[in-house]
Amino acid sequence: MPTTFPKCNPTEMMGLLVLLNNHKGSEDVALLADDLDLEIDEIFPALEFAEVLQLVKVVEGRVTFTDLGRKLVAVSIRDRKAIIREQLRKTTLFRTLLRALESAPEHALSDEDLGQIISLTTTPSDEAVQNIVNWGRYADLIRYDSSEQRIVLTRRSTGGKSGPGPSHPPSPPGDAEEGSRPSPRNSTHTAPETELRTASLAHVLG
Amino acid sequence: MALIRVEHVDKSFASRHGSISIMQNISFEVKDSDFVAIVGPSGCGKSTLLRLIQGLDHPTAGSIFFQDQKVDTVCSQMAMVFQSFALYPWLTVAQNVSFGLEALGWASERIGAQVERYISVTGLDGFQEAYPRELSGGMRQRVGLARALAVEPAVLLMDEPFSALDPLTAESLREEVLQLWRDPQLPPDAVLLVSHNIEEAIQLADRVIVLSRRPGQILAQVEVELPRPRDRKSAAFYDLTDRVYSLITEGGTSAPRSRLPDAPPAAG
Repeated sequence: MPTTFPKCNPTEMMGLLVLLNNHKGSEDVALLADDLDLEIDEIFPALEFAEVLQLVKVVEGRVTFTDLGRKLVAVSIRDRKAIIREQLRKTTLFRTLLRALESAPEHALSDEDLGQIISLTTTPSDEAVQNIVNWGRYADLIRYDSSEQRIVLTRRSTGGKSGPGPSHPPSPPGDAEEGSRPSPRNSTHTAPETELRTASLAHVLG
Repeated sequence: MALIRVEHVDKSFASRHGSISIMQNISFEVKDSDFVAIVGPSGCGKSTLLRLIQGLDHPTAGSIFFQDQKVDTVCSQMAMVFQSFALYPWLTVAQNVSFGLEALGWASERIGAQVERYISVTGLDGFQEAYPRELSGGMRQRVGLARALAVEPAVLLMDEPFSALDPLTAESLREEVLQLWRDPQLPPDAVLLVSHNIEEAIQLADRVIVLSRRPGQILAQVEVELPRPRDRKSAAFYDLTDRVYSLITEGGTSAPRSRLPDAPPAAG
């Protein structure tokens, strides 16, 4: 099951982190949800993506800030974006998307193109596409041209070997790691493992 | 010095059967760097009071002063954030934010930099060219916030700004408003929040003004001295919430109620 696709928007995830900060940075997942009169499954998408971005870790039903997560809630709204941007870049999804944009004509992809990219690991839906576009825009990695319904690379992220190079198909996001990733509900994995996985992905994606 | 002084304000509206009193004898002050919340049941005149303070409407009796100047027309030193966001759907985020500045007659070359600054501080970078329909509720309310702050108001007036948002989004934006208010480099100096949500008021404000049911009268001004971020599950927080609930339910004219009436309908 693909788990690295955001099923929440950035503001919802920030809400979860703010909530966790109100609980001094560590809390039982059920109690955290209860504070907002929510069920666990209602905070789950935010929790899951916060874990993907290595801002929290969930061990035996307890969610705790990583050092980076603690730093994120301590800095200004503006500086939070920079942290989110760097963490998003490390995800398979955005590595793939940014590589695809770098190789695409005019550094632009249509909604359908994005659907194609994510269809390799999940059923593309308008909601999935919109969530990804939302995160990309929030982190200023991509821009979205609504009149032409296309995603455009933000100039800042056009680093390295961009330009009119040979156009090869993007690597599929998610591979083995997607399926084997434990669900945060009973997750026991820790940050070092996540980093390891990211490192191995870097290898896979070249 | 008081930024806002509300003195013995009454407001009533004419109806076929005579006038209906909305609020009576409202007096309070908002000082520099205050975060004040007004709570009370539906119909107690909370939103009307904000409109009177900004000068969008006039009291039937009594006076409102901003920095010792009587407010008798719309005061440009205050800006409002609405529950319904109130964005123009045909304008982009940047255009929505610049709208108020254009209305105030700012020179166009100053507007660009100002819009950029407030888009940035509210976390809207990357959405400048987006239309409201492309945005989540949280992002829309950020536009409402950026538009209000761009005029650099001394006082930010907020009318149920988080009630149309899902709980996580509201939690995030509440914290962001606190962050902006506390930043000495940024407006506003003071915030006046209207909310039907007692927990939200206690979570955010230094002082909670409790209004009775219609006609709204001030039942109490409750100081909140808990350190931030505030733990809603702490005993001290619970005691304050309980006190405000009791004031509203026992201070009204009819039978005690265990809960406030429902929130006003969320905007679509």
